[in-house]
Amino acid sequence: MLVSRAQQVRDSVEHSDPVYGLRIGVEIAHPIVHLLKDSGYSMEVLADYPVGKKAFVEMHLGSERAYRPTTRFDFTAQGKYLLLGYRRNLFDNFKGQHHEVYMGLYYGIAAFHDVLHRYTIGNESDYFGSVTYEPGRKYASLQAHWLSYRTGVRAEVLPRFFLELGVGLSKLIYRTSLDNFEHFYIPGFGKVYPGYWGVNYYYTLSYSLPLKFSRK
Amino acid sequence: MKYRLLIIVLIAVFAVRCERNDICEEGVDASLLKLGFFDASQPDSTMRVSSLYVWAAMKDSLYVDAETDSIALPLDPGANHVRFFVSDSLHVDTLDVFYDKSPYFVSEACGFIHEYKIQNQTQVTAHWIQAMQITDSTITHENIHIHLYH
Repeated sequence: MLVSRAQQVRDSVEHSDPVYGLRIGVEIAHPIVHLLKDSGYSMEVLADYPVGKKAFVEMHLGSERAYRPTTRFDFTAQGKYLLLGYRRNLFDNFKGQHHEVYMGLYYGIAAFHDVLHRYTIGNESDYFGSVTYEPGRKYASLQAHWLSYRTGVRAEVLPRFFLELGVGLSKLIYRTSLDNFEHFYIPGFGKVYPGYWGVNYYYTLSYSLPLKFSRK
Repeated sequence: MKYRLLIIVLIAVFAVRCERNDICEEGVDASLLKLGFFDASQPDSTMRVSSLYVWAAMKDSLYVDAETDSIALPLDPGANHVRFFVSDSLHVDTLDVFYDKSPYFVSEACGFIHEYKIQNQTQVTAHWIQAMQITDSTITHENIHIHLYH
């Protein structure tokens, strides 16, 4: 059997990229953590759409209330947030596969308020002991903007059903200044670390809607 | 090459998570009232007390048989007035300190401290201490706040 040189070099398996369209899902890591710690709630829905053969644009909308106790003070941060992002798939899918190993960049905005429940001045072991204030002070109309780099894996575990596990590194680029307080947790961003960095892990379930799109 | 970027990000994630920010350094709480002992006949020179006792009502002693020309006393964060007893071991004088306080946020680890301001009603009896002067009413300043002349 004679085969040309060109034909011998080709793979016998075809490579292909997603032909799925709009996909919607929910984030479940944060809601579960809040449930387990009884520290509030989190609801986040997401949607993404393919751009070309190896990329997606993505949007998240969320609402979170987080109660954060520390040794010296307790507060609650509550509000809504929006994320817009673009991610690229590094994984070479075989025909019919729709898995992802992705890297993406996101821009996040949150509108929220803080309530400072109580704080303690001094220690019990001091000469005069300590005193605890319970001001219930509300810091309203707060805003935060951030950039987030996320990477992870999104696998099609059942036809059209995807499971994603990812980590993200975020940096706060704007936050409303507070009078005599600081930002330590922002809905959507998470815990604020020194230098206004954030680190998160994500666990999402999504479903690719069986809508017919004509091939372009 | 793209996986190298991933490694860098994972290292950055660990770096952020591992940075300790939960320790409050000593000395952040500069909330001690500093008093200096001076010579009544020569008001600019300090004059040591050879056997000093200081305590607050119904509390342990802060100074016992101390030889010093300056002392640092804590203020009660839960009140606006503290009464100290100051003795040269022969006589006892009563020092009533009145102050305003306002909470001030320092950091995540330290939380809040008070900024104290000494009020003019602060006074001392005159058994062995002859005079008193408030030289700096802001307690967060590091210098002597009250001069006591004996």
